[in-house]
Amino acid sequence: MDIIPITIPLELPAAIWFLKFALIAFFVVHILFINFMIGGTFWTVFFRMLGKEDPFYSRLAREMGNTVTVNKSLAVVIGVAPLLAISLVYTSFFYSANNITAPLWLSIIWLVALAFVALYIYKYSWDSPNYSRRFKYFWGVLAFAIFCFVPLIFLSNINLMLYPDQWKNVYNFWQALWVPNVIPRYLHFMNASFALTGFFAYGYFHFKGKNNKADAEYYNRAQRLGIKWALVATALQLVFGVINYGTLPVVADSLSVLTLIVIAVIFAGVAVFMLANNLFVKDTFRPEWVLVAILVVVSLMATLRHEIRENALREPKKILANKTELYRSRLATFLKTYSPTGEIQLTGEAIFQDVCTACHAIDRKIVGPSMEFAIKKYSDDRNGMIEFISNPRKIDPAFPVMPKPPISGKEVELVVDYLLSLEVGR
Amino acid sequence: MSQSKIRLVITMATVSWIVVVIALTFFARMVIHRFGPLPEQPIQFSHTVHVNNLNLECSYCHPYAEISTVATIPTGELCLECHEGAGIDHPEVEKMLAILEEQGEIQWDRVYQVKDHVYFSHRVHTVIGQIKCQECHGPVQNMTVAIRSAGGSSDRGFLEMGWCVSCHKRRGAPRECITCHK
Amino acid sequence: MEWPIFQMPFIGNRMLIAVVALIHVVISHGLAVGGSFFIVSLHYKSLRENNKRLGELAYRILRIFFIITTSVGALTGVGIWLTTATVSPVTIGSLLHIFFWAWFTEWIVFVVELVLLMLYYLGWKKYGDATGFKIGLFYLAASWLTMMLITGILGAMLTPGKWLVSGSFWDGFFNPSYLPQLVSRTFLAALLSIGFGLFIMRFFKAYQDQYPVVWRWAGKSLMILAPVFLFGVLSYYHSLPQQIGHLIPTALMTLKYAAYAKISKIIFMAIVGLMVLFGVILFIKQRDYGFISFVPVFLLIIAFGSYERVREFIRKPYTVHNYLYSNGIRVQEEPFLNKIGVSEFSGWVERSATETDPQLRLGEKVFKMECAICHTYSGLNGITRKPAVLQNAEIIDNFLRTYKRSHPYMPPFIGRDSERQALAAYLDKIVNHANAQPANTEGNY
Repeated sequence: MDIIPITIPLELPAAIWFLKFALIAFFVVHILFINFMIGGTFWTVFFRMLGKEDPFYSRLAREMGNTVTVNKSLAVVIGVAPLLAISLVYTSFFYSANNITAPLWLSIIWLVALAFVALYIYKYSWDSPNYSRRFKYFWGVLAFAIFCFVPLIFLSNINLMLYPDQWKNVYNFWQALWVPNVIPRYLHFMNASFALTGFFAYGYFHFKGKNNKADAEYYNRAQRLGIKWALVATALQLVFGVINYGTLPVVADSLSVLTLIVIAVIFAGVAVFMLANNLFVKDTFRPEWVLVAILVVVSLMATLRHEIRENALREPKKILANKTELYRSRLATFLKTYSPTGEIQLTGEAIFQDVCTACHAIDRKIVGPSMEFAIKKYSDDRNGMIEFISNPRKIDPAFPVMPKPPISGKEVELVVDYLLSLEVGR
Repeated sequence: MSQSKIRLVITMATVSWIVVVIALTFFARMVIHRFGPLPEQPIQFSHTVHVNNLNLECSYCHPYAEISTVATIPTGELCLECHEGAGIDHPEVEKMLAILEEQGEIQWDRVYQVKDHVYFSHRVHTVIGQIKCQECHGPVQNMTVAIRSAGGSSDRGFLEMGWCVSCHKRRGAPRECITCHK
Repeated sequence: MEWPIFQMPFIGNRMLIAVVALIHVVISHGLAVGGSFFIVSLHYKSLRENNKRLGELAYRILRIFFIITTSVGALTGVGIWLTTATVSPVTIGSLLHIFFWAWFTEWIVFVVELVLLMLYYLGWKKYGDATGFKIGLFYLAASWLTMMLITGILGAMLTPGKWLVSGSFWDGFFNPSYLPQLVSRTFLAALLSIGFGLFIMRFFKAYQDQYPVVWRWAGKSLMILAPVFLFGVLSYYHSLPQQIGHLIPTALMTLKYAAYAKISKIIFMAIVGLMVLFGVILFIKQRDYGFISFVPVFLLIIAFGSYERVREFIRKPYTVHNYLYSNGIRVQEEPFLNKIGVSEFSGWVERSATETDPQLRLGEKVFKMECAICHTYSGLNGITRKPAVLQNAEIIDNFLRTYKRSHPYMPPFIGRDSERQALAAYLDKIVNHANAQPANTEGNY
């Protein structure tokens, strides 16, 4: 942990609570669109395959593909805000982790750009008679494969940031993958993508179907499919969520984490209950309620991640603060003695005040003996005093041994001359 | 099945799902904390103040790290050498003085330990191996109370053998069983 | 020196940033800001002349613009963040502290721009002519607004001198070169979009009947826009002396730069001349000459790339003027580090150092901290390609002591004498004794 970079000596541009709030709030929006993008891409490829048998799936795949076009663009552009916020709030930690996973971290740009182009080819070659089926599917599958891989890079990076004690053992992305909690977190995230895409499909086709009474049958079926996905994937979080939590390093856990999980589970249960009712009994619960419930779950999860970040970084932040303080105080001391034309020599008195007064006073004993005592002792032995200050030894059993002071040569002489010039103790 | 029956099934299924997830969550929490609670010290002793600000050497308070197998945590007597006079208006020092007054000694919570069947010597590592304290204990000079910053992935409990071995390998130190296990 | 070091092999860190940035700049100028102008103009023309097919052609070109801007364009935009922050975390971290609100505002405008683009393109058929065209106008305005903001932020980054003194961000934002830059960037965007638009149009053979209409319009536009662009560029050059006087204290740099400015001024005039000529031909002949027609556009991109390079170059040796050197060392701390040494706080380079000999190891660490941000080993701007200056340890050491005067665009050597000698020894080894003894990669502990 001794390599955490010293804090940048500039004021934060906004209150820390605002930056943390922005980080959580915009991250929620960002991650929702990311979830819809990943799950939607899967739907548009998977259901297109089923569409050979049943034209319903064909149409569903196409409409889902259209939503991906919008969701993926919003996901990227909205992601910039949390990126800026996390860079400001956790500068020393975030940038360090980025550096360790750097080649793959930077490849995100090109991988995602490729996935987006692939999605466009997939979309605009849909009806074209000029291309083979295999060609058309290839681009969709490619995009989905990239979408499955990129979260691993993000998660390994964002997880590594929390555990600076690992930075000495981890030299690249592949090693960062095996830092505790990355893989379980990834599985939990991917399953959440499928669950949330189910919720999205439910809401999207519900509101679209409202204005489209002629197609009620299609929209009804699409909604019910969304409900089924949401139900199954949410229920499965029982496994993934528990594994995710159980592999959390102990420093990251706290009662607040536990509490947030319990509340989130209850809200998820409420959402599941309403969905199951609407699916198996009849539409009693308005979709708005279901979506609000699940939005609360996602917000709680993001807050939870924030708690984990704060817990894991609590001690490293203290270490960083102390290290920064050490550097700044040394710099400040230096700047006192520095001018562009040459070093300004501090007076013996100033050095004495800076270095010695924690333990010594002129006229009384604190930790070490009074200076009156020392001046009397060394009044005829300047070199003896210089020698003692430069290399202190245990002399008087009544006092603890003096630590070696952080001054040398000329500075020691100045202190000695200052003390011996005092008109006391003689 | 009638609608009300289905509704009953759904309700029961949802409730039991919630109960199971929460129960498993508590179980997971037990797994997380399987090594017991994190060390908690009776006094917020600040290493930073003593090392960075006052320029004390590690061996000032842990002299046995260079001459014995165990480094030892200093006794209250050593604290009092300076703190009879120094910093006595600082709340943590006051706390320390009160504890020493009442109990005679401070019960520090141990941060690092090795299992009984491991023979580990600080002296061999610090004097013969010339290894700095920080290599294993992290940047203690920047910590307040010491926290575990090495020793493998189990944050609490015993240092892991894999961690010992990886460093022995790196430095070409002997790796026979008998080196550490007697 | 405290922050992690990243070394891009072969092409180097600066080229890595340049590649990402140039792709982004060409797309954002040519296809987003300019693209909105190109499409909305054709859209307007089709409505006014009641030419449905022209509108359809515009829609098809817009699709290509949409695909490229929302994929490669958007990702390289984020990519500039990721890349620059990886290359120099302390620089981007510091800039973020200073310019956060500007970037936050810019981000909001970006979101608005993207939403409008999606409404415009995806809703082209749904919203019909009147509403659709209105959305297009808003999109045009929003994308120009992003350019207006970014030009100011770039300016503020280049001339934070006033920020350092007055603490007012606006002093940097509305710096003397702001207006000329905005004008030249705006018209550059329009010119590029015409080039790209005409190029893309040729792939839609089904609309060949509309080509002459577009050509005639494009020719007319080129004849009007190109001279205004030239005016913007020239007034930018005109505003430079004030900038240079402010930015570059050394006469040598000014000299080098002035010479470059003179040549590039002529180059710009020639390119603009070609564009006007191209416009005249398009207008009169109403045809193009295949790929030859796009030569002026390519030249314009190249000239523009070098213009951006120069714009960045005049920052050197700082990334934030008089506050932060390009290798991430704060100017204020220079004398302090000369006293205590740069390797005192250097966990990251210690972590990855490979040399085993103590002096060479120290030299390696200093190289990574102070030089590696711009210099690769043997790739672009590679250190082994400069044997003339780096002949032997003694000459190198002498160079390190004096280059502050001869190479003012490089940050000065900072550190103790022993560190400078170690760096000299290390450079001597990798430049002149590369095969003497391979570094022990096992020894990085």
